[in-house]
Amino acid sequence: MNRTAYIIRRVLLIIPTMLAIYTVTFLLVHATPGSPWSNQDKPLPKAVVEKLNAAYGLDDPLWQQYLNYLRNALRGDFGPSFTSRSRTVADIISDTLPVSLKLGLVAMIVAIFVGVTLGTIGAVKHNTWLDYLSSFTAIVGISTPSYVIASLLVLFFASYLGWLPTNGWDGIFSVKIIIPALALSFYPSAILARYTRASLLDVLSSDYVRTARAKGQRERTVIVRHALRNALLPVVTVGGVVFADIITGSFFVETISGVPGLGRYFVTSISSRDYPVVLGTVLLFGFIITLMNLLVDLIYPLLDPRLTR
Amino acid sequence: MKPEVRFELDELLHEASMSRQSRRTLMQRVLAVGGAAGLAYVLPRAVVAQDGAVGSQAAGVHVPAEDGVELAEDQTIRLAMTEPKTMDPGVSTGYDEIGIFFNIFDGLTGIDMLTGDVVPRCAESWEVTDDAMEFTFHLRQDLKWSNGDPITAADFEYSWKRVLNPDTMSLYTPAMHPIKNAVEIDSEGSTLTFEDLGVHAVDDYTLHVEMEAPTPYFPLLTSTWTFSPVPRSVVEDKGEAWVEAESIISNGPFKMTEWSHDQRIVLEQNEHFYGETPTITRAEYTIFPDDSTQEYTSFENDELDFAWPNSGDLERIAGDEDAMALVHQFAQSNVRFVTCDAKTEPTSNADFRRAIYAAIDRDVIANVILKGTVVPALNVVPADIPGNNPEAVNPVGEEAAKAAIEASGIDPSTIELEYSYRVTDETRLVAEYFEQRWAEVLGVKVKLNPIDAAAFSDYVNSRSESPFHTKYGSWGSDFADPSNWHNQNFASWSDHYHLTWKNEEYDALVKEAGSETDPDRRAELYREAEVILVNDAAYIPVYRTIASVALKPWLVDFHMQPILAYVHLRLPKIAAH
Repeated sequence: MNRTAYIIRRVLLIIPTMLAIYTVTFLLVHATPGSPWSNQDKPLPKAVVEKLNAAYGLDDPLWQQYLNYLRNALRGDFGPSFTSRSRTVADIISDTLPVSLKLGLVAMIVAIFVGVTLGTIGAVKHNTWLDYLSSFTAIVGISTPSYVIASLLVLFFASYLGWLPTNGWDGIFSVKIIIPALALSFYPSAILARYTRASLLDVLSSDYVRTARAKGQRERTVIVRHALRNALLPVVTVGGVVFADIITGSFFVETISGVPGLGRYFVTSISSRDYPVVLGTVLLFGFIITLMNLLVDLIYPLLDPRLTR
Repeated sequence: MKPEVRFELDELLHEASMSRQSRRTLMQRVLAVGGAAGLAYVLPRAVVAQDGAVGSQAAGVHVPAEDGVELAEDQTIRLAMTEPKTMDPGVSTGYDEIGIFFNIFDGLTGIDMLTGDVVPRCAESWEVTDDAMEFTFHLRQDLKWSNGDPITAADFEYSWKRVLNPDTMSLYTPAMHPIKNAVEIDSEGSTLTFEDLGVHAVDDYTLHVEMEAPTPYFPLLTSTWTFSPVPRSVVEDKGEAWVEAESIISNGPFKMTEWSHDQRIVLEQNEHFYGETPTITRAEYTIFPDDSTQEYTSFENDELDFAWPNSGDLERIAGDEDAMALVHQFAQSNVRFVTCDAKTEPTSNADFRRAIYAAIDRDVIANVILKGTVVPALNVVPADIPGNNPEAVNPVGEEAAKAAIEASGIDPSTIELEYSYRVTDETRLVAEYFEQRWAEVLGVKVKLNPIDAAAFSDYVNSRSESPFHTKYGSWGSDFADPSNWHNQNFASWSDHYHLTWKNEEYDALVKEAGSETDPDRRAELYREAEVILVNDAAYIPVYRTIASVALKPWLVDFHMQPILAYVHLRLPKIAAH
């Protein structure tokens, strides 16, 4: 297939994907019982509710609200937040997304370091106790939810040892980032370890590695220079998706660690029926995931020329 | 049919006194029925007596400083809160931000944290006419905003009228309803505008207020945040964003110098405040995610000076004397009740309702189901509200329940009784108890109808037209006056819970009491009314919650009232430690 046409097709496909995400989310939030003004023990007076509905256009017919929001969103206006009155959805995203990105980046770096190391050990010491230990660690990492890890880390390092604060955020150069970054990196470390191990095992049995060995190169050089470089290609591609996962899946860790990121808005806006925030964050997350998938698909052939042949 | 005064300082204020507790109960991991062991942690230093009877002087938390206490060099207090919805006191329906309003804004009147009494603040004095229909407030002449600009009576007039201005989109317009014309302004198709509100700045230092109906307790209301002055110039210049830290100016003992969303809020002393300079120089509020369970853990880790432990925390530290010594508990001025549909069979039958009342074993709920985090309630109005009547109770027990069923003439085996409730851990446990208990004692089938928190008030609001049987309800005092209970909720013209319950005699009593200016006579009328209210059993009181707070030992001169239980920063000090 013509490569340029393929890329154009893939990029254009983002449009119906996003439209579908918007439509489904819009219908779901409005189909959910309740309203933004009703989440309290004592109900608001009817007159106040009517005033609010009018002010935010919630008394318009649904199809009109659907078109209005879409029109504004295309212009980059994601509307006001119902629950955070002095801010718009754009304000919330621009305040919180960088925090999530920074935390995600640190977690990703930790994950790459830990994951690749564990995976390499597993492959090189194939079927030894070291391999079993690294596989076991990886399986624990995959099967333990991040909120459990985060809680345990808080319990151990903050409550028990008193070395770290229980929560908070002061940027990436503060000790406060240690617990959330570790907790977030657990799952991706495990995934990356599994991929690295499988892929490295595959490469290690290939001809060119045998050649390198036959030339009498040191085992260390063979693995780091020759094998790992190629083995990491699939790891890089999965890394993109894993990174999107970290950014969008940080709700529990951000909540437990008191990190002012986007994750908590993704979830709390649903229970408070803050429609613009729900739509804004879902669209943003949808876009990030779509984009990451696209990038992976586009980068993959570049890294592995065999695919374009 | 126009109610004389539909003042519902409710939703709003409601959240004020209740939100901390209800949000915390929401996340409480109350264990299933587990015996009396859970009782051990209750009432360490509490002043809670049976049925929450708390002497009004002793109510709340009071930790005086010891004589000659040495103060710490750094007078920073570290507190916790959740992300505020807005910092606009004229708009807020009250979450944690109310605690901040009381420190950065200053109203005409305030509440003395030691006694709970109304005291002069921006107003040095006030006069009221004999019929309690007109108030004249005399303002201090040295009032200033935190940027040094003067404050006059016109600022109060502007701020109060602004609450009713539709452009403000205030969530709490009912706060203004006792003032003349407010109800009319707020109603649909009215020809009056917010400019017609019965408040008028006579000169720079005199504010004249006309009421819609006699409101002897009005100075109590002006102590609440909705009546705070807001800075007109900044509001008009910045719009809704005037409350951000870069723009906001205020007039309380503190000013807000930082609001990093979802992260922290910092208050520092306001050098233009007229009154005594507080000892605390800086308050740092760490913003926790809304459903955080980590506040108390942070407190244990010495990251906070004050925290609200949840019931899980309390259970964990029950045997730890050192930890429990820092915990203070007090009965809250509230009630959780079962409310009954007065228009639909079988709950339209008062005898049947009395049977439900009798069948509930409140001791089991308080001590076993909810493990001592609540106290039983047999009457409706809590003990710290004047005119409450602890003798307004109905017979309870299985015998009484069976007798009432008999009197009702209803065959219980034909009844499927529905109970709808707003789902939280607490209400779910209680509902499951009702399900089993009512079936056992009354012989009816019980159908539970759990409703998501975000949908529950829509459900309640539509009950006047739609039938139901029984549903969950709660009320917390917004201020210490019985009208806040009877007139705003239960009187048939208010019918806040949409029960369509009406009792002519009751209505007449609370109407008379509402405008009675003699306090003794007024209390007596309310006591009579409560007897009818409870006897008719459309509102079936079940329990009241207990609040628990934890204070570091170095936090002294700390005083907190049970109504609007927030940390006020005027008095506290940090002792050397």
